[in-house]
Amino acid sequence: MALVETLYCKICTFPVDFCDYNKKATKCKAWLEENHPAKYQELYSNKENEDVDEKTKKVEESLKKMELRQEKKDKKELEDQQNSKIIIKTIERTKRKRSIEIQGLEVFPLNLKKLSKKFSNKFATGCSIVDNKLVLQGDLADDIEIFINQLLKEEAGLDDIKVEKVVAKRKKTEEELAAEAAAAIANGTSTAKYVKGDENKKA
Amino acid sequence: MFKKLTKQDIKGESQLKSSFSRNLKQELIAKYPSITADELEEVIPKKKPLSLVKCEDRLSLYTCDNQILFAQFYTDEYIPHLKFVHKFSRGCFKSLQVDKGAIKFILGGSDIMCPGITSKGGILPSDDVKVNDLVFVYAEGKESALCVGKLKMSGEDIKNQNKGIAVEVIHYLGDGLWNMKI
Ligand SMILES: [Zn+2]
Repeated sequence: MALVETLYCKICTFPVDFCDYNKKATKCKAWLEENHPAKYQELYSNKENEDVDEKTKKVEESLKKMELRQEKKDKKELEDQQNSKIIIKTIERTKRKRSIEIQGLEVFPLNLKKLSKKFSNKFATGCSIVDNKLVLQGDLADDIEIFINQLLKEEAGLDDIKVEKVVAKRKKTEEELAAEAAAAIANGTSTAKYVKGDENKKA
Repeated sequence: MFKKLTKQDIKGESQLKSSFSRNLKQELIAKYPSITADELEEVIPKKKPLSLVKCEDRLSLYTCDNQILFAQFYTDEYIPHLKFVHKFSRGCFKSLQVDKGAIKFILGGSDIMCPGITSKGGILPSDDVKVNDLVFVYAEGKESALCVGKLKMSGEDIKNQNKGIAVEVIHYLGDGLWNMKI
Protein backbone atom coordinates (compact mmCIF):
# COMPACT_ATOMS: atom_id res chain seq x y z
CA MET A 1 0.00 0.00 0.00
CA ALA A 2 1.17 3.47 -0.77
CA LEU A 3 1.34 6.41 1.57
CA VAL A 4 -1.59 8.80 1.80
CA GLU A 5 -1.05 12.18 0.17
CA THR A 6 -2.62 14.88 2.25
CA LEU A 7 -3.14 18.35 0.80
CA TYR A 8 -2.24 20.99 3.33
CA CYS A 9 -3.49 24.56 3.15
CA LYS A 10 -0.78 27.14 2.53
CA ILE A 11 -2.69 29.71 4.57
CA CYS A 12 -3.64 27.91 7.77
CA THR A 13 -1.37 24.80 7.49
CA PHE A 14 -4.33 22.45 8.21
CA PRO A 15 -5.39 19.63 5.89
CA VAL A 16 -7.71 21.45 3.49
CA ASP A 17 -10.89 19.80 4.76
CA PHE A 18 -10.34 21.53 8.11
CA CYS A 19 -9.93 25.08 6.75
CA ASP A 20 -13.50 25.84 7.77
CA TYR A 21 -12.56 25.62 11.40
CA ASN A 22 -9.82 28.12 11.09
CA LYS A 23 -9.90 31.80 11.81
CA LYS A 24 -8.65 32.59 8.32
CA ALA A 25 -11.21 30.49 6.43
CA THR A 26 -12.07 33.14 3.82
CA LYS A 27 -8.45 33.49 2.76
CA CYS A 28 -8.05 29.71 2.78
CA LYS A 29 -10.93 29.27 0.36
CA ALA A 30 -9.54 31.86 -2.02
CA TRP A 31 -6.17 30.14 -1.97
CA LEU A 32 -7.68 26.70 -2.58
CA GLU A 33 -9.87 27.91 -5.44
CA GLU A 34 -6.88 29.42 -7.18
CA ASN A 35 -4.35 26.65 -6.60
CA HIS A 36 -6.41 23.47 -6.38
CA PRO A 37 -9.70 24.17 -8.17
CA ALA A 38 -10.70 20.50 -8.31
CA LYS A 39 -10.38 20.08 -4.57
CA TYR A 40 -12.22 23.35 -4.06
CA GLN A 41 -15.13 22.06 -6.16
CA GLU A 42 -15.18 18.85 -4.19
CA LEU A 43 -15.23 20.58 -0.82
CA TYR A 44 -17.37 23.63 -1.34
CA SER A 45 -19.44 23.55 -4.54
CA ASN A 46 -22.16 21.02 -3.76
CA LYS A 47 -22.44 22.37 -0.26
CA GLU A 48 -24.07 25.56 -1.44
CA ASN A 49 -26.83 23.75 -3.30
CA GLU A 50 -27.46 21.27 -0.56
CA ASP A 51 -30.10 22.02 2.01
CA VAL A 52 -28.22 22.68 5.22
CA ASP A 53 -30.03 22.03 8.44
CA GLU A 54 -30.47 24.63 11.17
CA LYS A 55 -27.73 23.31 13.41
CA THR A 56 -24.99 23.39 10.78
CA LYS A 57 -26.12 26.87 9.80
CA LYS A 58 -25.76 28.07 13.35
CA VAL A 59 -22.31 26.55 13.66
CA GLU A 60 -21.26 28.19 10.43
CA GLU A 61 -22.53 31.56 11.56
CA SER A 62 -20.69 31.43 14.84
CA LEU A 63 -17.52 30.37 13.02
CA LYS A 64 -17.87 33.37 10.69
CA LYS A 65 -18.19 35.72 13.64
CA MET A 66 -15.18 34.19 15.31
CA GLU A 67 -13.22 34.66 12.12
CA LEU A 68 -14.09 38.35 11.93
CA ARG A 69 -13.23 38.97 15.53
CA GLN A 70 -9.91 37.21 15.15
CA GLU A 71 -9.07 39.21 12.05
CA LYS A 72 -9.62 42.47 13.90
CA LYS A 73 -7.57 41.29 16.83
CA ASP A 74 -4.70 40.14 14.61
CA LYS A 75 -4.67 43.46 12.81
CA LYS A 76 -4.51 45.43 16.01
CA GLU A 77 -1.80 43.21 17.43
CA LEU A 78 0.31 43.59 14.33
CA GLU A 79 -0.10 47.36 14.41
CA ASP A 80 0.88 47.46 18.05
CA GLN A 81 3.95 45.43 17.31
CA GLN A 82 5.03 47.51 14.39
CA ASN A 83 4.57 50.74 16.30
CA SER A 84 6.36 49.57 19.38
CA LYS A 85 10.00 49.83 20.09
CA ILE A 86 12.37 47.64 22.04
CA ILE A 87 14.81 49.50 24.24
CA ILE A 88 18.06 47.91 25.32
CA LYS A 89 19.47 49.96 28.10
CA THR A 90 23.04 49.48 29.30
CA ILE A 91 23.52 50.41 32.91
CA GLU A 92 26.94 50.95 34.40
CA ARG A 93 26.98 49.36 37.78
CA THR A 94 30.57 49.87 38.70
CA LYS A 95 33.51 51.01 36.66
CA ARG A 96 33.79 47.75 34.80
CA LYS A 97 30.52 45.96 35.47
CA ARG A 98 27.51 46.58 33.34
CA SER A 99 24.05 45.15 33.22
CA ILE A 100 21.44 45.58 30.54
CA GLU A 101 17.72 46.05 30.71
CA ILE A 102 15.40 45.09 27.85
CA GLN A 103 12.12 46.92 27.64
CA GLY A 104 9.06 46.59 25.40
CA LEU A 105 9.07 42.85 24.75
CA GLU A 106 5.61 42.23 26.15
CA VAL A 107 3.69 43.15 22.98
CA PHE A 108 5.35 40.34 21.07
CA PRO A 109 4.34 36.70 21.20
CA LEU A 110 7.30 35.77 23.34
CA ASN A 111 7.23 34.13 26.71
CA LEU A 112 9.41 36.27 28.98
CA LYS A 113 10.05 33.47 31.41
CA LYS A 114 11.27 31.13 28.72
CA LEU A 115 13.22 33.92 27.09
CA SER A 116 14.97 34.72 30.34
CA LYS A 117 16.04 31.11 30.68
CA LYS A 118 17.24 31.07 27.10
CA PHE A 119 19.28 34.22 27.63
CA SER A 120 20.96 32.95 30.75
CA ASN A 121 21.85 29.74 28.96
CA LYS A 122 23.01 31.31 25.74
CA PHE A 123 25.01 34.12 27.26
CA ALA A 124 26.07 32.26 30.39
CA THR A 125 24.89 35.00 32.71
CA GLY A 126 22.16 35.85 35.19
CA CYS A 127 18.85 36.98 33.75
CA SER A 128 15.75 37.99 35.64
CA ILE A 129 12.36 39.55 35.00
CA VAL A 130 11.56 42.87 36.69
CA ASP A 131 8.21 44.53 35.85
CA ASN A 132 8.01 43.08 32.34
CA LYS A 133 11.63 44.00 31.72
CA LEU A 134 14.45 41.53 31.31
CA VAL A 135 17.59 42.33 33.25
CA LEU A 136 20.84 40.66 32.25
CA GLN A 137 24.21 40.84 33.93
CA GLY A 138 27.00 41.77 31.56
CA ASP A 139 27.79 44.14 28.73
CA LEU A 140 25.77 42.31 26.11
CA ALA A 141 23.73 44.98 24.34
CA ASP A 142 25.12 44.25 20.88
CA ASP A 143 24.74 40.49 21.13
CA ILE A 144 21.24 40.85 22.49
CA GLU A 145 20.23 43.17 19.68
CA ILE A 146 21.26 40.64 17.04
CA PHE A 147 19.63 37.81 18.92
CA ILE A 148 16.32 39.62 19.42
CA ASN A 149 16.08 40.62 15.78
CA GLN A 150 16.69 37.06 14.73
CA LEU A 151 14.20 35.74 17.25
CA LEU A 152 11.42 38.07 16.13
CA LYS A 153 11.98 37.13 12.53
CA GLU A 154 11.91 33.41 13.23
CA GLU A 155 9.19 33.24 15.84
CA ALA A 156 6.80 35.95 14.73
CA GLY A 157 7.84 36.66 11.15
CA LEU A 158 8.41 40.27 12.07
CA ASP A 159 11.03 42.33 10.33
CA ASP A 160 12.29 45.83 10.99
CA ILE A 161 11.16 46.17 14.56
CA LYS A 162 12.79 49.22 16.05
CA VAL A 163 15.45 48.37 18.58
CA GLU A 164 17.04 51.26 20.37
CA LYS A 165 20.16 51.06 22.47
CA VAL A 166 20.79 53.53 25.23
CA VAL A 167 23.51 53.83 27.83
CA ALA A 168 22.84 55.07 31.33
CA LYS A 169 26.06 56.39 32.86
CA ARG A 170 26.60 56.02 36.54
CA LYS A 171 27.73 59.01 38.56
CA LYS A 172 31.37 58.66 39.46
CA THR A 173 32.40 58.68 43.10
CA GLU A 174 34.95 61.06 44.57
CA GLU A 175 37.65 58.38 44.83
CA GLU A 176 37.26 57.35 41.24
CA LEU A 177 37.54 60.91 40.04
CA ALA A 178 40.70 61.25 42.04
CA ALA A 179 42.12 57.99 40.74
CA GLU A 180 41.32 59.00 37.20
CA ALA A 181 42.98 62.34 37.59
CA ALA A 182 46.02 60.77 39.21
CA ALA A 183 46.31 58.31 36.36
CA ALA A 184 46.03 61.13 33.87
CA ILE A 185 48.83 63.04 35.55
CA ALA A 186 51.03 59.94 35.76
CA ASN A 187 50.52 59.30 32.07
CA GLY A 188 51.27 62.87 31.31
CA THR A 189 47.99 63.22 29.49
CA SER A 190 46.81 65.90 31.81
CA THR A 191 48.55 68.90 33.22
CA ALA A 192 45.82 69.64 35.68
CA LYS A 193 46.75 69.06 39.29
CA TYR A 194 44.32 67.30 41.50
CA VAL A 195 45.11 66.93 45.13
CA LYS A 196 43.23 64.50 47.30
CA GLY A 197 41.55 65.89 50.38
CA ASP A 198 43.96 64.13 52.76
CA GLU A 199 47.07 65.35 51.08
CA ASN A 200 45.69 68.83 51.13
CA LYS A 201 45.55 68.80 54.91
CA LYS A 202 49.11 67.55 55.29
CA ALA A 203 50.40 70.32 53.12
CA MET B 1 -0.46 19.20 26.29
CA PHE B 2 1.46 21.05 23.62
CA LYS B 3 -0.67 24.18 23.80
CA LYS B 4 2.14 26.42 24.93
CA LEU B 5 5.04 24.74 23.17
CA THR B 6 7.18 27.22 21.23
CA LYS B 7 10.59 27.37 19.68
CA GLN B 8 11.88 28.95 22.86
CA ASP B 9 11.49 25.58 24.58
CA ILE B 10 14.20 23.98 22.49
CA LYS B 11 17.35 23.27 24.45
CA GLY B 12 19.46 21.44 21.93
CA GLU B 13 19.59 19.09 19.00
CA SER B 14 21.69 15.99 18.43
CA GLN B 15 21.92 13.40 15.69
CA LEU B 16 20.90 9.84 16.45
CA LYS B 17 22.71 6.71 15.38
CA SER B 18 21.36 4.57 12.59
CA SER B 19 20.87 1.73 15.05
CA PHE B 20 18.34 3.89 16.88
CA SER B 21 16.43 4.43 13.68
CA ARG B 22 16.44 0.68 12.99
CA ASN B 23 15.10 -0.11 16.45
CA LEU B 24 12.48 2.60 16.21
CA LYS B 25 11.15 1.18 12.96
CA GLN B 26 10.94 -2.29 14.46
CA GLU B 27 9.07 -0.92 17.43
CA LEU B 28 6.65 0.94 15.19
CA ILE B 29 5.91 -2.09 13.06
CA ALA B 30 5.22 -4.10 16.19
CA LYS B 31 2.90 -1.39 17.46
CA TYR B 32 1.14 -0.62 14.18
CA PRO B 33 1.10 -3.98 12.35
CA SER B 34 -0.77 -2.59 9.34
CA ILE B 35 2.10 -0.28 8.50
CA THR B 36 4.52 -2.02 6.15
CA ALA B 37 8.30 -1.78 6.26
CA ASP B 38 8.33 -0.21 2.80
CA GLU B 39 5.95 2.56 3.82
CA LEU B 40 7.97 3.27 6.91
CA GLU B 41 11.14 3.33 4.85
CA GLU B 42 9.57 6.06 2.71
CA VAL B 43 8.77 8.20 5.75
CA ILE B 44 12.02 7.50 7.60
CA PRO B 45 14.62 6.77 4.89
CA LYS B 46 17.82 4.99 5.88
CA LYS B 47 19.89 7.70 4.26
CA LYS B 48 18.41 10.50 6.32
CA PRO B 49 19.55 10.54 9.93
CA LEU B 50 17.09 11.06 12.75
CA SER B 51 17.64 13.92 15.15
CA LEU B 52 16.67 14.27 18.76
CA VAL B 53 15.51 17.73 19.77
CA LYS B 54 15.44 18.17 23.51
CA CYS B 55 12.97 20.64 24.99
CA GLU B 56 12.00 21.95 28.40
CA ASP B 57 9.97 19.78 30.77
CA ARG B 58 11.60 16.53 29.69
CA LEU B 59 10.06 16.61 26.25
CA SER B 60 11.94 15.00 23.37
CA LEU B 61 11.10 15.48 19.71
CA TYR B 62 12.31 13.03 17.09
CA THR B 63 12.78 14.62 13.71
CA CYS B 64 13.80 13.57 10.24
CA ASP B 65 14.54 16.03 7.48
CA ASN B 66 13.28 18.91 9.65
CA GLN B 67 9.91 17.25 10.13
CA ILE B 68 8.77 16.21 13.56
CA LEU B 69 7.86 12.52 13.59
CA PHE B 70 7.29 11.87 17.28
CA ALA B 71 7.11 13.59 20.61
CA GLN B 72 7.94 11.86 23.86
CA PHE B 73 7.60 12.89 27.48
CA TYR B 74 10.35 11.50 29.64
CA THR B 75 10.63 7.89 28.43
CA ASP B 76 6.93 7.33 27.78
CA GLU B 77 5.57 6.05 24.52
CA TYR B 78 6.13 7.86 21.25
CA ILE B 79 3.32 10.23 20.35
CA PRO B 80 3.13 10.47 16.56
CA HIS B 81 2.93 13.96 15.08
CA LEU B 82 -0.28 14.42 13.07
CA LYS B 83 1.69 14.96 9.86
CA PHE B 84 3.10 11.46 10.42
CA VAL B 85 -0.38 10.08 11.10
CA HIS B 86 -1.74 11.68 7.92
CA LYS B 87 0.72 9.68 5.83
CA PHE B 88 -0.97 6.40 6.67
CA SER B 89 -4.47 5.15 6.05
CA ARG B 90 -6.99 5.23 8.83
CA GLY B 91 -6.97 1.45 9.21
CA CYS B 92 -3.41 1.50 10.52
CA PHE B 93 -4.39 3.06 13.82
CA LYS B 94 -6.68 2.49 16.76
CA SER B 95 -9.27 5.10 16.02
CA LEU B 96 -12.63 6.60 16.78
CA GLN B 97 -14.75 9.26 15.14
CA VAL B 98 -16.43 12.39 16.47
CA ASP B 99 -19.40 14.27 14.98
CA LYS B 100 -19.05 17.58 13.17
CA GLY B 101 -20.03 19.60 16.22
CA ALA B 102 -17.09 18.34 18.27
CA ILE B 103 -14.42 19.49 15.81
CA LYS B 104 -14.58 23.10 16.90
CA PHE B 105 -14.03 22.21 20.54
CA ILE B 106 -11.18 19.81 19.89
CA LEU B 107 -9.35 22.37 17.78
CA GLY B 108 -9.87 24.83 20.60
CA GLY B 109 -7.97 22.53 22.94
CA SER B 110 -10.79 20.69 24.74
CA ASP B 111 -10.89 17.03 25.64
CA ILE B 112 -13.50 14.86 23.95
CA MET B 113 -16.78 14.28 25.73
CA CYS B 114 -18.81 11.11 25.26
CA PRO B 115 -21.76 12.70 23.38
CA GLY B 116 -19.41 13.79 20.59
CA ILE B 117 -18.70 10.12 19.91
CA THR B 118 -22.09 8.54 20.61
CA SER B 119 -24.11 10.93 18.41
CA LYS B 120 -25.10 10.14 14.82
CA GLY B 121 -21.87 11.31 13.19
CA GLY B 122 -19.57 9.54 15.64
CA ILE B 123 -18.07 6.05 15.67
CA LEU B 124 -17.06 4.25 18.87
CA PRO B 125 -13.59 2.77 19.19
CA SER B 126 -13.40 -0.96 18.50
CA ASP B 127 -13.22 -3.41 21.38
CA ASP B 128 -9.48 -3.99 21.14
CA VAL B 129 -8.84 -0.37 22.13
CA LYS B 130 -8.23 -0.32 25.87
CA VAL B 131 -8.39 2.48 28.41
CA ASN B 132 -5.16 4.54 28.38
CA ASP B 133 -4.34 3.42 24.83
CA LEU B 134 -3.31 6.07 22.35
CA VAL B 135 -6.24 6.71 19.99
CA PHE B 136 -6.36 8.60 16.72
CA VAL B 137 -9.42 10.75 16.28
CA TYR B 138 -11.17 11.31 12.96
CA ALA B 139 -14.21 13.43 12.26
CA GLU B 140 -17.50 13.06 10.44
CA GLY B 141 -17.07 13.89 6.76
CA LYS B 142 -13.31 14.57 7.01
CA GLU B 143 -10.46 12.46 5.73
CA SER B 144 -7.57 13.37 8.00
CA ALA B 145 -7.08 12.72 11.68
CA LEU B 146 -7.52 15.86 13.78
CA CYS B 147 -6.09 14.79 17.10
CA VAL B 148 -4.25 12.16 19.05
CA GLY B 149 -5.29 11.37 22.58
CA LYS B 150 -5.55 8.87 25.37
CA LEU B 151 -8.72 6.83 25.72
CA LYS B 152 -10.16 7.42 29.19
CA MET B 153 -13.24 5.18 29.01
CA SER B 154 -13.82 1.87 27.26
CA GLY B 155 -16.03 1.93 24.17
CA GLU B 156 -18.72 0.17 26.16
CA ASP B 157 -18.67 2.75 28.97
CA ILE B 158 -18.78 5.61 26.49
CA LYS B 159 -21.92 4.11 24.98
CA ASN B 160 -23.64 3.29 28.27
CA GLN B 161 -22.72 6.20 30.50
CA ASN B 162 -22.58 8.80 27.72
CA LYS B 163 -21.16 11.54 29.88
CA GLY B 164 -17.74 12.78 30.96
CA ILE B 165 -14.39 12.83 29.24
CA ALA B 166 -13.90 9.96 26.81
CA VAL B 167 -10.58 11.02 25.34
CA GLU B 168 -7.88 13.15 26.87
CA VAL B 169 -6.51 15.12 23.93
CA ILE B 170 -2.71 15.23 23.71
CA HIS B 171 -1.96 16.69 20.30
CA TYR B 172 -4.36 18.44 17.89
CA LEU B 173 -4.29 20.42 14.65
CA GLY B 174 -3.07 23.91 15.38
CA ASP B 175 -1.46 23.30 18.76
CA GLY B 176 2.13 24.15 19.65
CA LEU B 177 3.49 20.86 18.35
CA TRP B 178 1.65 21.25 15.04
CA ASN B 179 2.96 24.78 14.59
CA MET B 180 6.52 24.04 15.69
CA LYS B 181 9.12 24.39 13.00
CA ILE B 182 12.48 22.74 13.54
ZN1 LIG C 1 -6.69 26.79 5.33
